[in-house]
Amino acid sequence: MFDLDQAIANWRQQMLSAGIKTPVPLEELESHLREDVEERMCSGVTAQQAFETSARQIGQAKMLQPEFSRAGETIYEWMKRHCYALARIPNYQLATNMNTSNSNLEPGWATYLKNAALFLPAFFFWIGSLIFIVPKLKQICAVSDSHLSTALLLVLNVTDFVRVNWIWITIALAVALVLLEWRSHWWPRYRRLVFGISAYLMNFMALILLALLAVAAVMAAANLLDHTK
Amino acid sequence: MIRKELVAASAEPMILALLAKGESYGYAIIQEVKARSGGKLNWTDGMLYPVLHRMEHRGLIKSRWGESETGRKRKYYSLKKDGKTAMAKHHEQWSLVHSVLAGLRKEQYV
Repeated sequence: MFDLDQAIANWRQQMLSAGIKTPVPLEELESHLREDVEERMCSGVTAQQAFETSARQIGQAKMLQPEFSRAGETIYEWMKRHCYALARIPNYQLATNMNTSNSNLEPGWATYLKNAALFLPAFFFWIGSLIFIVPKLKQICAVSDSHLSTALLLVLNVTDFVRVNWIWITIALAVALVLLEWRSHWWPRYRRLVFGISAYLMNFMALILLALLAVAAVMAAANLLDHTK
Repeated sequence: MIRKELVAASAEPMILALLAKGESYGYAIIQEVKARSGGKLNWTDGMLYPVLHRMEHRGLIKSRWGESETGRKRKYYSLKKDGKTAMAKHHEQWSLVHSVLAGLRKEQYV
């Protein structure tokens, strides 16, 4: 006498042996198998025939296992997904398998315009802090005999370098961009990614600067209180 | 029978289009594709699930465990925002391919 539950248990064991060990796919496949068997039995087929046909239709365990392995996200895929997310390239453009190789492209002007808008907050904060906050902080530190932290000094040195050489840096960047736009074949493909990550890093650095300035101000204020006592 | 490369390439847009009609589960998706293609698009049933999982990883669809009318556990899938955009993109591309082929075919009979 054919025992359907036993047959399904054996089938499950075969799937496990083939390497489909994670519970979710196995549960899902079993649910599918039971549903299909039930449907076939309703049309008058015996349980054994229904099970054999359904199991065959689901496919062999050895054939399914590599597909399920590929379905899991690797570290590389995770990193790639997050890098593209930083560049604001939507997931669907990576996922569609009918895409041509140029499908991720957006017009250059759109990338430049969007990224200019993203760079602006970080840029204005950087300039604002250099003009209004940093001189005042240095003055407070001088009065309270405080020293700025090494990290903040490093950031300020980099900032000073950029401030002194901004004309050359701007020219170098402009020339590099013109050359890339003019000569490079791969640039249109990676333009959005490069700008996306740069805008993210700029904003991240602006936040770091803000945090360092806040810490330095709090420490200088404490020293200033001691100093006035 | 339709070539396996075409079956594979059309799997994702079809799943997206089916899920755009509402939440569904693996077995129902396969049955609907079979019915709509008159049995000519024949997927190996088990192969649908890795595709669904990949699409879920990419954020095109989401899933939840639920129960059937008979109380059996079922995993339901539904479309996410990125999935809708992907579907529109697929539609655009397949329409383009179709219009090119239709145009060429028409020219052959002129």
